[in-house]
Amino acid sequence: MNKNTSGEPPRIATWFLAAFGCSPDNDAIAGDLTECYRAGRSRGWYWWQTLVAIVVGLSQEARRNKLLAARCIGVGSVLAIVFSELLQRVLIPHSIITSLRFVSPMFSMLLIVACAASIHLGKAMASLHSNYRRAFAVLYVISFCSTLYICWITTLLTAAPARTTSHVILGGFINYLWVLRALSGSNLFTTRMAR
Amino acid sequence: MMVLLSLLRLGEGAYGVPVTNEIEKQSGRSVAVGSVYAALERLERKGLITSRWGAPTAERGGRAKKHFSVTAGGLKELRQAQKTLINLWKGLPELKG
Repeated sequence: MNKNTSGEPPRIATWFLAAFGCSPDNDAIAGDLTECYRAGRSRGWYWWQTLVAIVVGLSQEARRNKLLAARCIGVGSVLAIVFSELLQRVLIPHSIITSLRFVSPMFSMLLIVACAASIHLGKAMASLHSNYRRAFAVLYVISFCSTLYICWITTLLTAAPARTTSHVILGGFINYLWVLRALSGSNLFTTRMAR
Repeated sequence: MMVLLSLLRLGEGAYGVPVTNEIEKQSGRSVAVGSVYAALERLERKGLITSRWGAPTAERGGRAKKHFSVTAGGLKELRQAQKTLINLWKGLPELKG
């Protein structure tokens, strides 16, 4: 790993922390990470700490407001399923959907459109929870994107339209699994990165 | 408890970096700064520690330090935990393996 004793920490990681960090101590965490980076910690360490800080902050907020978190995940998942259904039943014929490949420009375009839509919906969701704006916008966008992605992957893998109940149940189930995993206690010792 | 003890060891003015380093040094394992702050926030919510913001410094990219210190309630809690642990260890056969 590259050691950096005087330069600026990775800008993208710093932006990620500022944009998605949900901890009330986000500014102090960013300052600590910058101080450690300038004291000789590696770029990999900085990135890893940034990601852990985002996940820990998010799970902390979600654990504190379980009902709001469940509602955000529920709404995100349901909207993703509705969006996916609409896309496959009305906007794009099933024959085209099943002929898509993961690397095709059409699939990439659909993903970009879906992500953009989810971010806008996320902003709307966040305005409903003004006290916990950032945490719930992030939670909502993740649940929307992951459910949508699971629906599409299932469609592409099984070459069947994602309109069956099993697809929806699978999407929801996997979504709740990661949330449960994220909420199942925080551990101080979560990093194994080289210093 | 580890975070509380680290704060006590570091004394007045302890903040995220020294607390993280102290836990890493004493435990021999890597610690996430974000997780330390999550623990500190929980302790503050319970009234076991207090915090105050310091002045922003250039080495931290213009961000301020958040200093923590243990309250009387925190000290009482630590003494209680110490007593409990001593009692639990008492009478145990020597650990082998």
